[in-house]
Amino acid sequence: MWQIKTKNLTYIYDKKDPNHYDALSNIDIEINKGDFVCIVGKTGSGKSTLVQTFNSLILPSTGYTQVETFYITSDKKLKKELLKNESKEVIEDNKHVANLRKKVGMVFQFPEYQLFSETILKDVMFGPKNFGMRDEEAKEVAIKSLKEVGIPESYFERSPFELSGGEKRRVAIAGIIASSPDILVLDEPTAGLDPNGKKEIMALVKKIHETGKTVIIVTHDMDLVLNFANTVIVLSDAKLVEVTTPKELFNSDNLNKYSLEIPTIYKFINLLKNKGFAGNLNEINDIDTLIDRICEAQNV
Amino acid sequence: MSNVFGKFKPYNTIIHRLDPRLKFFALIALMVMCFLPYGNYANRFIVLGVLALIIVVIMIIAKINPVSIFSSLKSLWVMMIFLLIIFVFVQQGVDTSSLHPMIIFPNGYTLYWEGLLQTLHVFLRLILMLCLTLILTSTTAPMDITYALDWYLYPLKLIKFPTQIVTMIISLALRFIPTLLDESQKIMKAQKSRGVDYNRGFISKKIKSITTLIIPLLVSCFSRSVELSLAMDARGYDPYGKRTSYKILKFHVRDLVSLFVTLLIMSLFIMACAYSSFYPGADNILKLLFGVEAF
Ligand SMILES: Nc1ncnc2c1ncn2[C@@H]1O[C@H](COP(=O)(O)OP(=O)(O)OP(=O)(O)O)[C@@H](O)[C@H]1O
Ligand SMILES: [Mg+2]
Repeated sequence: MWQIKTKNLTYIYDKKDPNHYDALSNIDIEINKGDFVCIVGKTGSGKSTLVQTFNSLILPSTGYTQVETFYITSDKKLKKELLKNESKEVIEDNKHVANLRKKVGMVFQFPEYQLFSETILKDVMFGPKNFGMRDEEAKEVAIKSLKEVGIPESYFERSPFELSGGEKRRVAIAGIIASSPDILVLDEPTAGLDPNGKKEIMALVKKIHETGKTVIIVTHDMDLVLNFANTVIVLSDAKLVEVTTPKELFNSDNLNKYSLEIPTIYKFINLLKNKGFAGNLNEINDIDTLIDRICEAQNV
Repeated sequence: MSNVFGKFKPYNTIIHRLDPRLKFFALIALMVMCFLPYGNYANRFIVLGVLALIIVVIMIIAKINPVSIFSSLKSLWVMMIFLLIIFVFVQQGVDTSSLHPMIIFPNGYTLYWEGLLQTLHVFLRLILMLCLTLILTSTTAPMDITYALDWYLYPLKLIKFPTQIVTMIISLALRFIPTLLDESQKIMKAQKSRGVDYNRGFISKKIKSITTLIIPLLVSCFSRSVELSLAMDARGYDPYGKRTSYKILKFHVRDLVSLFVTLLIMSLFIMACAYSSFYPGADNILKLLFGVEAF
């Protein structure tokens, strides 16, 4: 059952500009509840724009995005049409965008820019409080999520501006997961982090996904896609070109066409093949299988 | 943020092609014209009306939509009301005998029509000044404005004032306006997804929401400026070095003609000013032109 759906979604950044172009053009996708989705594509293909419509930060110029029963569009007539057959509660719900933003947590590229409070703890409490939690409750969830992202308790009363870039990023992510959104959207969460930081953030995201939440990640890191995603959405020049699984995507010949990188493991396999490696190298999609095959061929 | 009020739009009209130094001069000159004393209210409004007409014509030539001014005036309403309160309720000087009463309270306190006119007058001046600045900024590339400024600061160089530093500061500031606007958009989006609503709520709540924007913006401003200064140092920028400009400003015939037109307009306004201020008994331009009696 889909949880997020877009229909004929088109977005133009500056309509008044005489040479405007579509940043997104006729996108139709469905994302299922509990999925781990990666959105990939070269820079400027419209990934960030697409995910911002999930949160009503960007309203589709034509067509619409639907998150459960929440309709997001700038076309008033269309919205009226869509809401016509809905119940009273749904119509009421649609009037309050805060309800949607509570449901869809969005972590931006370089989220460290959003920090503003005097202390780290207060900053993380800010989101939950905005979504109607009481102070004590907010504090509780804030402490919990700060611990989850690996910020030690001794930091809680420090200013967020004294942190390193990676630590700031964690605090910012904690600020989003503290409101426990059903859908977590992350725009390039690992850009500019060290390998360990990447691993930790992804481990955290995986843990959140395992609690049954939908996770959507925009990324250029194909290793991440291979290791975590179960669905990949490929955008190219504002258009949707493929919705598939990582294995199918990386075993097809389209990677070059979409300007996507090959994951490390496939690069390695290709090198082995080129060197005339004797063993069977087909149908390998993870590191364990690869090692098994190599050992097999070496008779270890 | 691409249709920011007053943002430079690279059309190719005559106004765009004029020398920035001339445009700068004309801006200042016409602004001063807004503020000359023109005698009584009838005179003032006629003169400002003529000025407004000139400005509208320039805007049309420069492909600026004059109506777009009004959409950007929304934020000025508060100021207008504030001015109105001050001018209507504060007595207009000592001599009230020449004023026209509007409302007389039982205790003798009087509100005068002049208060209303005064507000209108100040507001009109403000709008005209806004329009003038808008014309300059939307027809002149920011760098050209700084070149013009640099040229005007030239006399200060003679007394060893480091004008090039001032121009560098100004050009950097201009350069970073769009960047900051972009950044504030980003921050606002991030805060919105944390549940901040910038449009709703009462004043106290709005102030709180604004701080969630201002603080991150200031922080990034500071870190940006530190980075920028380091980058400039790294590339060997010497603030006291002699600057040469890659663009050389040339004065064309069209500039000369425009300068002449500007001076002509200026002298007309100054004449109007002198006429209404110094000729006893003939303080009314209306009467002069059409023989009509105004109040
Ligand atoms: N604020 C904006 N104003 C105008 N155009 C924009 C704006 N933001 C993005 N665009 C344009 O919209 C298109 C899609 O941009 P988007 O940010 O969605 O790309 P992206 O796929 O996220 O790229 P990246 O991988 O670099 O983050 C690009 O062509 C970009 O130039
Ligand atoms: Mg992006």
